[in-house]
Amino acid sequence: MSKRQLAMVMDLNKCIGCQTCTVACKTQWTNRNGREGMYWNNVETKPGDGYPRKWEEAGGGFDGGGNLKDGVVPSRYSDYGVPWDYNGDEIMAGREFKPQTDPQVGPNWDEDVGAGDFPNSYFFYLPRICNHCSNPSCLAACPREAIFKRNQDGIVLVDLNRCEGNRLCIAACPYKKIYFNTKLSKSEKCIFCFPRIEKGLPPACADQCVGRIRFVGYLDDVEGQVYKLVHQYKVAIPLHPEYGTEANVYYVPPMAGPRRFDKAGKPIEGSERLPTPYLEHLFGPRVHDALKTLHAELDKRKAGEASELLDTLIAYKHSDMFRLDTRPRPTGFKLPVLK
Amino acid sequence: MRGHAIFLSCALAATASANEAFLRAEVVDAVAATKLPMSVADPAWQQLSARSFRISPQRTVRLNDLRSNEVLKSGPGISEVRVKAAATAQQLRLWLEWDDPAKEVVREDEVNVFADSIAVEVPERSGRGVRLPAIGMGDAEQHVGVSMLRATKGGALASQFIAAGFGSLTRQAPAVMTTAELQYDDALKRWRAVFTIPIDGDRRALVPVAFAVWDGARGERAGYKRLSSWHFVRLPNRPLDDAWVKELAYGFFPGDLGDVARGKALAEAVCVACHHLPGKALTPPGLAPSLVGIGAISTPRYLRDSITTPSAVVLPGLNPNQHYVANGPRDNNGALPNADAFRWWSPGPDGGQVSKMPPFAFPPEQLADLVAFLKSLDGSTLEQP
Repeated sequence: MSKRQLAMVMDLNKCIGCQTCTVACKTQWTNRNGREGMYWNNVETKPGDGYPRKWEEAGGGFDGGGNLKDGVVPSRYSDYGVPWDYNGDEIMAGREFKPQTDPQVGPNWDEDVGAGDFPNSYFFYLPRICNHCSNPSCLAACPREAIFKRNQDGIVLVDLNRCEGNRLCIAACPYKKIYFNTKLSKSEKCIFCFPRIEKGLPPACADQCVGRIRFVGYLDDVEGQVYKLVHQYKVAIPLHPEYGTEANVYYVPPMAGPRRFDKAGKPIEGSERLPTPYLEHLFGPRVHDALKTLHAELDKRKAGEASELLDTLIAYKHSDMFRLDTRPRPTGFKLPVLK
Repeated sequence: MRGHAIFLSCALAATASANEAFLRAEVVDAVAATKLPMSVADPAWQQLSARSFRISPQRTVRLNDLRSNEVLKSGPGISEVRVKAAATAQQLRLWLEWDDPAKEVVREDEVNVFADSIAVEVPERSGRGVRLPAIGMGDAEQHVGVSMLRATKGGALASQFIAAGFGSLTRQAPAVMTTAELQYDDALKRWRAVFTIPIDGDRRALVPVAFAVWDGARGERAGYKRLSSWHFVRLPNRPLDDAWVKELAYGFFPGDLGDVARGKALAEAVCVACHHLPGKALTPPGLAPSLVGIGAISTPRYLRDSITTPSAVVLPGLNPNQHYVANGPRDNNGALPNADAFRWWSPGPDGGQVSKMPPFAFPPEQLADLVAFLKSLDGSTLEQP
């Protein structure tokens, strides 16, 4: 559908759930003009209901035969959450610190809840942006044909001049990563920071990532880390591939979680607290080979051998994680000298 | 010679009565006025009698909202719109009224609620020898202008569009229609709207119009709507073009419409190979326009022509990306190709579009039976595969 495809790889082993990406995105794009309740980038705790609440049960995407599936448009009150504030001014008068409304749900409502019983409870973080799919179901659903995929990089955008706010894209997106701006009556979504991309800069969420979990590059750039992680080592896999949209955000699955404790409170050697069936539920059957490769490379490295894969994932230099074009570019960055 | 004269007068009489039947059934007479009643609530409207037109749910294409599709199965909802008209030499004003038990307006607080709306569609051009546009957003050759009112808390958002088929609706500066107004009667639970259509100098006596109503409480927006067939407003003090009326009155002449039962048998033997009929859905949704409610939104003439010369009006189908070939060859980004089977046209020899439906040359009686059956499909069957 597009000539080239930009993609992002997120290494979930390195995500610390700090929400710096969320804030970077929000301050860049969604803190104004009716977008206040939208999180184009969010980090949710898995297992968990996520944002919008129970998005994985809201339908959309394509069925096995390649036909668009029905989906629902979530509610702000019960699924996205209404933005709220706290009574910051009142606490100086000795009042209890509390929200000014009675929030029922929010973008990070079940943070760190996870699953499992103490002491074998578990969770991990899942940062999510628009997947800029190769077969976008939002684009397919739009009766106005207002959604398009850029030829040069595969970024999926809404033409706001054509959008009539019918919200069929929202019903169609299985990741629920397209939102409705009630103030403008238009659908809006993550734009992969295309104005930054056009200047050779990575998206704000990736640039600001404290844990250096995000790689950004073109899928056909065989020298790039994205290509290596996705196509060469096959350790980065899309979320819910069964949704059938050919998502272009890829995840390195969590593989080095804590071990389980036995009844005496001793760690069980060789055990995994994160149930692999749950990872398969999220990432499909390819997660098994990905985990196998990751463990094998980790063992190699433990034995003192070199591992290109682990070196790539470690990302010694943040700038190496972004390959936005293949032209020669400056290797260093100098701060301007203030006079 | 004498015999011929008798035959001729009989034919003329048949034409006259068919034309009259058409005018009675399909036409709203605009009352001549020197000054038009301006607002919806103007008492002047009360002195005019209304003509009621059927509106029925859009079933030709299927959209992807789970909840709206559930509601669609639950019943047809609002089923008529009442129309009055008044005109001066320069302007035609339509007064529309429909029942709606729940008032829904554009809301800035919630994401999954939808506003009640109404639209009036008019052809870009019309007259003798000019085919009426396809009812659903017009077609590539016959464009339509659409004026829409969407209910807001304090009034209505008015929008003007031009369209040349599904997916082509495009906003444009008000040209087709000018002033419009929308008001809810809380006591009677009814919406009333007024639209104004400018009349250009050579506007013929009949102005084709079609109506669409969206019931927000049923999750209606976009193609989730109820719509009418083409109807007509007769402008005062203008001579009727009898030849055009004769064209439009197809379906009112004896013999135009045959036997519904025979037509049903024929359709269930032939049309079901691609199309859905009530209770008969043998193909995947979207492969061809669904015919379950086709009669309520189509003129008999459109139904006949769609059978005999399908390529005269090529409907492009919904967004072509709704179906892909799941086991097809991927491009270098992993994208699967669109399934051409769900595209309703093929590229023509001259670079144009040819309908995938072949022309059917049925004998006249069979054609009349088929048109009669299709015209009887009013969308009242609610199962939707």
